[in-house]
Amino acid sequence: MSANPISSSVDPITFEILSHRLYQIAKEMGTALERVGGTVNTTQMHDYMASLYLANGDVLSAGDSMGWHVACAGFAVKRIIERFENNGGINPDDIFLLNDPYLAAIHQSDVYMISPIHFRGQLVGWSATFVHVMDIGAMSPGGNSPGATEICHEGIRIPGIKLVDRGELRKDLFDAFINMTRQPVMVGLDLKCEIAANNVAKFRMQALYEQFGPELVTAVSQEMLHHSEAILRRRIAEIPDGTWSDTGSIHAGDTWKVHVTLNKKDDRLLFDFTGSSPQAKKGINLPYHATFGACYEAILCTLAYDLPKNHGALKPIEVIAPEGTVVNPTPPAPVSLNTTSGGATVKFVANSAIMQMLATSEKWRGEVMALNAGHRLARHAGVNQHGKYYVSTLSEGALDGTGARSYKDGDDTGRGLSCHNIEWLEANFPLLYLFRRNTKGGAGAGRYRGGTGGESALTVYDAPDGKIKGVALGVAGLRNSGQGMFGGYPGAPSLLMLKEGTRVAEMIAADKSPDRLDEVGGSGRLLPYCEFDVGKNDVLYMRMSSGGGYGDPLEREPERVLNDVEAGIVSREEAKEIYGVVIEGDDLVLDLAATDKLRASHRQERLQETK
Amino acid sequence: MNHPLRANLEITILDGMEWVRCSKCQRKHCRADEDWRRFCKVRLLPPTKAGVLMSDLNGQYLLRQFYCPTCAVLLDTDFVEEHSNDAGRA
Amino acid sequence: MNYVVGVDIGGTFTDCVVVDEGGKVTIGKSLSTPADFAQGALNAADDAAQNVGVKNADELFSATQLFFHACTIGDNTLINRAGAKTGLILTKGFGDTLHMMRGKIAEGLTENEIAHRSALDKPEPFVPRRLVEEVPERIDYKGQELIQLDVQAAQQAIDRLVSKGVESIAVCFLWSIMNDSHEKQLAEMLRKKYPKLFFTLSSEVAPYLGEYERSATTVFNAYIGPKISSYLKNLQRILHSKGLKREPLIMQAYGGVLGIEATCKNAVGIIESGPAAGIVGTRFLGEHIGEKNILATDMGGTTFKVSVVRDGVIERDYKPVILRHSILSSKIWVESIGAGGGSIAWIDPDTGLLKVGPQGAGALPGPVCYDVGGTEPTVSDADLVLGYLNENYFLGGRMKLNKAKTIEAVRERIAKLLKMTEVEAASGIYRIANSHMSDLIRKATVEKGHDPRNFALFAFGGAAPVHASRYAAELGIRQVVVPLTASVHGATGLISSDVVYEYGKSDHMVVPAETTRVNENFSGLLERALSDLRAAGFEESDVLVNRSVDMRYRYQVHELNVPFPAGTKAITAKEMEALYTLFDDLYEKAFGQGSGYREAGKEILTFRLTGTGLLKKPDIKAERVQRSDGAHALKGQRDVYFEEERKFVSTRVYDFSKMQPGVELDGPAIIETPVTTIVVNPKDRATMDEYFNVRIHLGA
Repeated sequence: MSANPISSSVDPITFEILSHRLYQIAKEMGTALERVGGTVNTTQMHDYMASLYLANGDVLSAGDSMGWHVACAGFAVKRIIERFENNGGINPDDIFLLNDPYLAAIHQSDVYMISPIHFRGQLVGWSATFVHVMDIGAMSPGGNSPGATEICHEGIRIPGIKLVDRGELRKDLFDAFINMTRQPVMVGLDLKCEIAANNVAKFRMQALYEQFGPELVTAVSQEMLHHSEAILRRRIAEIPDGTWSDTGSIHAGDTWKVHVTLNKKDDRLLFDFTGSSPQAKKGINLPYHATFGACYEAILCTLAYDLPKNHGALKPIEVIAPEGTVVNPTPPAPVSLNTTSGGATVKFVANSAIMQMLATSEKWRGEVMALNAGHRLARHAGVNQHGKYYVSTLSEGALDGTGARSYKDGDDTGRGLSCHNIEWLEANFPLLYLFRRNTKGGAGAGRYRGGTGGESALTVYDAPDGKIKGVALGVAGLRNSGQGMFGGYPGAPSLLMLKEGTRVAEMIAADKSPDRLDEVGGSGRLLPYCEFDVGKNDVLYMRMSSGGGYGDPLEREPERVLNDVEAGIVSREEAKEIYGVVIEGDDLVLDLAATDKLRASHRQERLQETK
Repeated sequence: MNHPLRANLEITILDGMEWVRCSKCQRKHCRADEDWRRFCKVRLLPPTKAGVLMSDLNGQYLLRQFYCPTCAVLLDTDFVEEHSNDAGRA
Repeated sequence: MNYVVGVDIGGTFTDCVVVDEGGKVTIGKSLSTPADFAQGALNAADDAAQNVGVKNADELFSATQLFFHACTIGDNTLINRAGAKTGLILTKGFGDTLHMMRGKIAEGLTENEIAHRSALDKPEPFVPRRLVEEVPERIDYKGQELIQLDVQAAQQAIDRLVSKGVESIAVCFLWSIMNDSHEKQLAEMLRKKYPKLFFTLSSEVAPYLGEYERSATTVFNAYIGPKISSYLKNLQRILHSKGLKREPLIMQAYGGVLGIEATCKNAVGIIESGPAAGIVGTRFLGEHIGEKNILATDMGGTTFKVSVVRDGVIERDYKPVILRHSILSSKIWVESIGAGGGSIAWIDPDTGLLKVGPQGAGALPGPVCYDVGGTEPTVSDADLVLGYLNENYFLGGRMKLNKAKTIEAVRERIAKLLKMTEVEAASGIYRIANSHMSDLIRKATVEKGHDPRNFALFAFGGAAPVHASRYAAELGIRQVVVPLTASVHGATGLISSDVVYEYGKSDHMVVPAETTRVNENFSGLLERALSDLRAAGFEESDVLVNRSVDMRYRYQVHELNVPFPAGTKAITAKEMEALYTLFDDLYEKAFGQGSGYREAGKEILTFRLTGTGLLKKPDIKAERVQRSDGAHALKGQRDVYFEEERKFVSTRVYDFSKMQPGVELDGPAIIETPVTTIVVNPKDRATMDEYFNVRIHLGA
């Protein structure tokens, strides 16, 4: 076995040890955020980021954070440097706050804290964090505002303030900020945890500099960037040159298009979003740095999944996004809905183009995965059974099923985040769950099927106001959820439905379990982007994304289909109709001969029927 | 250089030219610089052919499938808007 | 003569420790016998008996006052998927609870595994979906019944499961922790119609909030319960027939022992109980030598583990991850990574970087130096090349190491590719392994708000004493302790244990909490504790009660366990105030200054009570300490590589068995023992204390 060591100016042992230490520090920051922060977003949905930067703002180590936030925070660091280096100064133990989507944030709810790291008086680097705060003083509670038509409807927008001045918290700025939100206590906690996490980074980095000396740390940092870049470029170059594209739709009342063409030549990747719709008067728009970040993240999750996440992995990527479009808006276009609408669509098309590219490489086709175009989610607010006003998110999104791969099924409810236990939710909020389970028939069919997503239903219970308010968000439209890959079928759409005037209370009083939506009565409507009320006789139904399938379902091993039917994921009808597999009797017996026949007949049908 | 294109499709070099070929039955679909979809059998079906939960898409979308004209292997599945020419996805 | 006997059954070896009335410790060892573990236990007892000076195990057992036991059968049954065919009964509408896992696909995976998200898979469930039944019933968050248990549907569900051949049933209804009447109803139905069927109720095995984790815990218990039961009852029978009069006491994962009956009822409590024995021994030893803050590190062949004793209290994990499932069974807190003597060093073909682990060479093919077929260099191989290990005296001379083969493997597989000498390569392997371990310890301490510099580090496991001084020094730790009983520290822990019963109850209370209700909750738990301990033969004067609560700031997810002062007196309003302040302090200590946002308000979530039946601990004899320079223990010298010198240095080699309490050795030095090698680096000093433990003082 021969190795081709990447040329290195640092001894490989020290490199290995130090680069892992930097990764550990970034992770420790993340852990501090997760532990100290309290909101559902932070702790359950991992909607946070903690990473380290070089003195000039280039990403040094992103830990486990989501790539697009890491990239955006890098922009934030650079904006802070620009604003403060000659005006106010960047001093040891300062911490800055920024949440302006037209400078670096994705939307205002993402509050960045940027902290310079000094060693012996010299600026040697930065740490940055963000959390998605529970409220930001926008039109709607929680920040995402379906009614906003311009950025000024979407809450506080800070281009950069010095929140901590040489180690002293500026209480006036802190109070001013949280005072403008509906949840000053929770938002205050979020800000404090970001400060704590940045302090962790600072102390650990200073100790690292002390132990290894600034020259060695700098040399290793540069080498880490060079290392990631060199390996990534080599991997890109190994793939056949080509061009791939995809178009996605953003549905939020109206429809907008996101189009991307990915061009790979040698070791360079160009994402060109020309052809995307002009910007909208609805908060779906995605600022350029977020569009860039989405492409960066797509690479980090695929070609660079095992490489240190840093600026080096950014170098081979170029992103073109015409100004004035949904992927590069100009003020005053609103943005508050973007992470779960425009952003999800951008991520989808960028990833889709990359998957098409990877499929052309023998070496990389194992990384191909059917993608999710997004799911619906809901924020809720009201007075809980303990008399406290709250704003929170229903974290069912963790129950998405993932897409199939080229060699195995997707994972049922296996996206990697986690959602709360029903018991935790019912203890803290005035809710009663009717069911939460796998969506039968949700998984996208294919030679390898997608993972099925979760579905749940709830009603209000013990609510002092008799109701709670909800905000319906997320990727709307019926073509969200898992998209099939290379023949595979899409997963069932993710949707939010409100059933009003149901018989739930009656059923419970009659000792009848209300676990079937078609039995609770009432009139149901699919919720678009909107605010809504859930009252005593209403049922909110939430279905998450199911993963798309890969390849031709007629090629799926019949035994696997039998397992799916036994597990209640696939129905016998679907087994016949889509997979061509015959399973008979109450005890579910597989009939292979009948299956062969049925599959042959399906194939004939495919070629016979005219368009 | 021979290389895969996607599931059940590959790029092969024949007579100095790159062709798109079915991986299962070896049928030559078209040249690599052409759009292989135009050389497939196409079907438009009601959304519920993809499962009962797709009934919400009835009336708005159709299920569109592309097959190899020789061996009928399924190459692409997508929903397209019922009343539009544009395919929705490239 | 009376004896206290502890038998610890491990993966490879079964150890038996015997302490006599005078405090003398004798050790016996035998290979474990997985086909029938009890046999290995008897073999080890026979070995120990002979070393003690009696004829055989029968004679030993006839004179045994207390018999302790730890085994891996819980772990093995789970890992080998050898448990009972188990069915699960859940509330209608929530039948996928176990399988959904709340989405937690990545629990228990390494960083690298999680990063490769396209390759992620959920773990194989212990109950297939077709063996899950849903029954109409519903309780609300206050414990009120909303929907009656549908008795007919429940009966049909049970019948269906039985007809499918299930041997054991787990039951977990929503909110059974607030109102267990439905689960109890189902239990009655089971007992009536299927009296031989094993079953577990979630409200009994894990009365804590969180239906996913609770159902997973219940399933684990039902899955391994029958096997544990039959094993323990069989063991008891055999030991009794061999003369043992007392009931064997079984180590639980939280570091206390319980009798057979109690263990069978709560089988899930012995999963991963092996390390628990070790840490109990660690704390016991710490008490003797005056160390209350201990980082217990165990570097075995494949895995490196860390546990923590802080202020004399073993750190707990109330929500451990077992085989990628989160459960609610209390156990000692252990963090581990794939790093050990057998960890393989390799060059990443893509990046050209030197990596160590997590793959290990195991016992077969083993490290290259063992000469039993291994071809890939491991950490132990690097240790040999660097001169730490003695090729002619490994495992007390029982095994010869092949140094020539080892050097060649390091050269061909590593050094050549990195364009280094084999010594540089070996040094690199050594350093990377050490950095992995120190990083893990850092994670284990700093993440919990501990400063590693305030701890003494104990080194267990065959490979640890070669490396411990390095990974300790990296963290600023000043003392490494290599205990005499390191090779049998599990068994040592056993004989220093107490009988410990744990109880808990979820009850969500907003602070300030009503003192009456707090006391009501604790009284209920106390009643059960006193009853159980009485039945186990303890007087109230031999019982220690500790009460604590899990608390958090409101709307946050992370909880801390906060103790009350020991005792059973009713808790006063003043003590509640003190508790709240203590929570604020502990929180800041754990998560940093200013991290606690008190304005958010606090809440109590879980009430916990521990009833400890104190057992007489063996009086380990302290020897007289007499200063010496160890000259009489000197057995030779050899060249050893040290990083700070960047070369081989002529180093004195000492024979451990000839060392006496009070000896002081300046580094560099090597101490060879029958089971391990202790490396003393330049600038460090090694001493032997009154209990024959070796202490390495770093930077002395």
